[in-house]
Amino acid sequence: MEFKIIAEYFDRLEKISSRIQLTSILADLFKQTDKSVIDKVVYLIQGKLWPDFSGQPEIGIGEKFLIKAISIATGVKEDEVESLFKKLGDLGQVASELKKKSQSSSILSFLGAQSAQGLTVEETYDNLAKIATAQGEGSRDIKIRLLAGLLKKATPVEAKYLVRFVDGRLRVGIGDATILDALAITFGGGEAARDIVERAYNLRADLGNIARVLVERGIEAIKSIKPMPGIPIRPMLAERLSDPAEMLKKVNGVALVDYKYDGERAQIHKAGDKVYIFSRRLENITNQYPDVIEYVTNYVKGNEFIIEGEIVPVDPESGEMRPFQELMHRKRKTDIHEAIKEYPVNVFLFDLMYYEGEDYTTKPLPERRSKLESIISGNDKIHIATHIVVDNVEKLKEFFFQAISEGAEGVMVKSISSDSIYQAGSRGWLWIKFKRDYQSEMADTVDLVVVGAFYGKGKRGGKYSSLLMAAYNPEKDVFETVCKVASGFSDEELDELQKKIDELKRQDKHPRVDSKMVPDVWVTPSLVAEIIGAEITISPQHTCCSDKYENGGLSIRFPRFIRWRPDKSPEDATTNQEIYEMYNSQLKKITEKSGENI
Amino acid sequence: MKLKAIDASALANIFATVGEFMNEASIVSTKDGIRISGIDPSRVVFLDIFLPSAYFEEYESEEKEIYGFSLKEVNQVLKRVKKNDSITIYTEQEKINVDISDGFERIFKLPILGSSEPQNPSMNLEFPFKAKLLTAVFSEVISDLFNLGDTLIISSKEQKLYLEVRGDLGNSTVELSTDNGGLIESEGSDATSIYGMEYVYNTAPMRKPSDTVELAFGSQLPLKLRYELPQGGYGDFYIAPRVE
Repeated sequence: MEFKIIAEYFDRLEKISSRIQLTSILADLFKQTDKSVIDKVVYLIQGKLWPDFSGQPEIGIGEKFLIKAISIATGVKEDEVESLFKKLGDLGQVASELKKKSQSSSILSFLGAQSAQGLTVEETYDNLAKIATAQGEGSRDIKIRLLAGLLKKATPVEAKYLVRFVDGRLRVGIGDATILDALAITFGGGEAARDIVERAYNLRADLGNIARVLVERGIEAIKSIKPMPGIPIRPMLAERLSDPAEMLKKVNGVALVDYKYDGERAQIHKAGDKVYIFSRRLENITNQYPDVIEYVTNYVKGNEFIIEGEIVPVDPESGEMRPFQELMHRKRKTDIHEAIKEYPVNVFLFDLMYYEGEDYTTKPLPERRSKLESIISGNDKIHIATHIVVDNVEKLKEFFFQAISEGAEGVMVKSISSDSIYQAGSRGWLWIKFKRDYQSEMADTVDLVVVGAFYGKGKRGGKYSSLLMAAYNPEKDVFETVCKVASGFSDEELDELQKKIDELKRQDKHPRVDSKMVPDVWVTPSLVAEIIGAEITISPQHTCCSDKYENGGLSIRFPRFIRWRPDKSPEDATTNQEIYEMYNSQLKKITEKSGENI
Repeated sequence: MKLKAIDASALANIFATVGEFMNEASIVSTKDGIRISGIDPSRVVFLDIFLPSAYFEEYESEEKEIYGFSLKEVNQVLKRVKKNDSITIYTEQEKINVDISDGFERIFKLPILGSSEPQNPSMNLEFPFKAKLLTAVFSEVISDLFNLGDTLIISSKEQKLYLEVRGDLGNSTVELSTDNGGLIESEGSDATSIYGMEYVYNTAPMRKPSDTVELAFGSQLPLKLRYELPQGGYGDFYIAPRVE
């Protein structure tokens, strides 16, 4: 198939903006497309060589080298190409104009060989793929020469779109939705097939693959398409509400409520020995998580499956959740193995879409969830998301505050009715996110009193590794709990901690301690430590200022030990009133982040 | 196919030059010798290298054998060649074996890539001007001019050859003639043409295996550089002119 056909259609598409017209022209193009290259044509229209999730490199030619390639291909000096670019503002246009004037020919035409002008789709695609995959020493020159070779052979209109493609600015205004429309019209028998084609795309987010199946095996094959491990499913999205009563109403009064973790949403695929991890935006992030691959291989039963969860940074010692930013730190590390050690993660699974050949997206949530639970073997790395089933507002609110205080960013309220299918690629009321409207960032440290201690796990097994900390309430002369701190201790401080706690431990709760939480050992209030956290939040598990809130007391999220304060007595610790004031003075409305992950 | 060359570094330089232009190439071996030819990806250069059987200390070939190979991989191996090494290249079960020896042997096995016989053009070009010169002279002049500009203007006038660069920093012209000893011989009419400097410069590693180079060109015609090799071998480079 001639590349010129595509280029000329691009030229027509560029001049119109009506979606109906775009679709009709695109459908015309598909009619003229050789069946053998339909997937390549679809990718080229999308402005890519392969789906993003394939993990294959991008073209990697910047403006400067594009100019060089145009110069080689047209015989026009680089500075002249550049000045024409300044005038026209579009390198595609520059290439096209210069090709019209250029008499620069391939060496073959001088040597008596036939050197036809014009490109085929196959050679264009194959050479662009070579350009993208050229790596290492000398690859820059190889990329430039390959592109120059294509441009030399191209007609002016081909050169225009070839350059724009490489530049990442096709400007033809075709989105995935228009491609779906045109595919349905051309190969599905008409607009009526649109929903079927779209459903298939939602289950296999690879338009090239869908086009190929449609062209080769027809609409019936598309109807029965199932998710395929290795090709991501477009994720199901949630609506948002702030009134818990309304949420429950939307899901018919009863819901499965999951923690909404503050991590990276991940779709995990297994196909035999291979594990793939895709991000919320369907990028292939497998290489960033060799640890998750290992956990999935070891602790999730099955040969072929697609499951979904959240990858969350955890404290390596206590296993408690850490702030989302730590995942960003991890991504910035160049040595992935060092990053794994420094910023370990846990996976909290919440859905299963495919298992051993069976499509689970059409099954209701309880069925998907029970299958998911049945395939996870006992371990401390991969968990099912913390959840409850609720049918009343109070319980929902209490669970929400518990989620926040434990480091989650809220909860997901999910329908468990018989129609609670996995709606791939769409946002609906089957899932509702419940996040806070306000948050109170913590700017200052506080001095808190140790009132209890917990034994650690793993490396810290048998040793005290986290402390129950309390603020002082001078009115009642009691210590009210605020947080459980496990981070920030050096190895020396931890060793020292064992002695300190052993000296102060007691059989039961000290009468001046007010706590809902029960630590492994109680401690006589005596030690004071300086603590910083990410924010102050309401928690049903803590007692500080609990007389002021119906859903619990105030708590510090992501607390971190700074240092001991031997100069302070327990009564010199930060008071409940001070924490109350800190909370109120910093309370700010949360605005939705862009690229919100569910 | 099996060939052995006493001067491994000369062969290494020939492959290095081919590697400046192509990522993959095919060796076509016949009873007469081996030939490597093809066009560079930017379609500016066609190269054609011929090493006759007499070029080698030992030479064996079927009627016709064709082997594709990656120049990057071959050149990685040939980088290790030292001054007094000899080299044996032979094919065996989908591999090209490169055996480098200076008393003790180092054998490298490289994969043979799928390939078809290159479709070579007829190359029946008549050039208005031809000159022969020492490769040492030619490569020195090109090295001097290389950093001054992207394009090389070649002209001939009254049997003299002029190599010129017009760059941002100024112009530079080198005159070569039989009178000043720059040319060994020259013949033909006056002509002028422009070529990409980088392409000419990239033929430079040929100066080591070759003593003399024949330069031929014409106005709006390709530049042909024939690096002459022992026993009738040659390395031909046809470089398309720039049209300005």
